[in-house]
Amino acid sequence: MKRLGVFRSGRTTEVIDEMTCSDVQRLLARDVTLEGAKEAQAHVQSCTQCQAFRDRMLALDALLAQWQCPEAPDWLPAKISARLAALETGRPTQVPRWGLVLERVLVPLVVASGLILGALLGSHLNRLLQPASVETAGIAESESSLVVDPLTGSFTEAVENVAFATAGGNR
Amino acid sequence: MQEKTPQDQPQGRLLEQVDTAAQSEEDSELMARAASGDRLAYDRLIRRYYRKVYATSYRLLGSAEDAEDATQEIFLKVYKAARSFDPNLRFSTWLYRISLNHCLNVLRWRRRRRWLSLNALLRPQESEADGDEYASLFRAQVPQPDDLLEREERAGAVRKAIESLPEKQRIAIILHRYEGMSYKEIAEVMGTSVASVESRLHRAKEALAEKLADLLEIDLQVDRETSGRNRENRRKD
Ligand SMILES: [Zn+2]
Repeated sequence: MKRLGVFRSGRTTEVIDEMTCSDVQRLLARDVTLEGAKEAQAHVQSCTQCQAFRDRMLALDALLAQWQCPEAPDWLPAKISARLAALETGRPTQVPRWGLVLERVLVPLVVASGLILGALLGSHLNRLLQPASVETAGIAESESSLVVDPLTGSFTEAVENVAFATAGGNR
Repeated sequence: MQEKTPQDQPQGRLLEQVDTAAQSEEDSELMARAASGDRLAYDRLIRRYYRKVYATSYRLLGSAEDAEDATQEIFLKVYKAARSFDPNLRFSTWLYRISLNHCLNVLRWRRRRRWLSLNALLRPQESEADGDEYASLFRAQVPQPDDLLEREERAGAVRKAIESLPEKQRIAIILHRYEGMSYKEIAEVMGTSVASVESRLHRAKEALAEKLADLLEIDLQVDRETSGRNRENRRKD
């Protein structure tokens, strides 16, 4: 704002800073009513350029008002509360990454080795508790090796063992 | 939000002066209680602010459905982050920051998805369909009163013009013109100075006046004709 001169209003003499068009238009862009900005109002009254700018700003404001927002639905707060409640009470505990590793790899491994150990132990106990004839002992050994012991070899080998043991018994 | 000076007031609209210092204090207190697990306290905050969050989300995201989703997500985020709330900050400022971040992330994600979408590459006309072309085509087939149609078209033009502004100008104009925030509040929410908010708003209005020049010219012409007729009538009287 450029200080230009001294104005006389009523009995008091006051210094008025003359405003440039760009000063006034900056104020108009901020508040088109220019409320409380008397100097700017006076400028607009005598400046067609700023009047045109003001009219454009007024028209723009009226135009912007035509983009209306729908009412927020009434059910929203209840929905948010319900989601929060679900989050706090029924939330499935989040499994961390290492948890997934445990779940997918270690658990099946433990179950499988448990089964193998259990079967080995079972077959061992079976032999201890049933001291049967050579034939049946042979069959039992062969059969148990067929079913559970992963170290005894393939299925055919086991069948051959059964056949051999039975043959031996018959002899 | 705090009280506004007359120059801070958005034009053509009287604001509800609900955001007093007392309310701000009460908000902080409610938030502190929410942080220690008091859901009722948080429910009060939700009821107090969900309309504002919804409105801002709607203006930024452009659809009621997206605004509904965003409002829910924002309040869930705020609750999860309750312990990190700084009581020196106004709750509303913090809430708006989280809201803006969320909506901007949604917009970025949407842009990325659109960019990556093979469909958009192969059929650009159809991908525009979720925008205005298809909507106006559809509307054109459904008989509607002229003024309603015109109002919708004008609202659509305003929305498009605002959407096409640079991000920071767009946020500034939405928070000021539609959410009734003062320059100072916008500066706090956007983490910038009052001067830069002022300059963003000024540039936004200039850009909007340019983008909407055709519609503005029609309105100004109507105004001129109306005031001309009024002058004529007064002269005759
Ligand atoms: Zn001027």
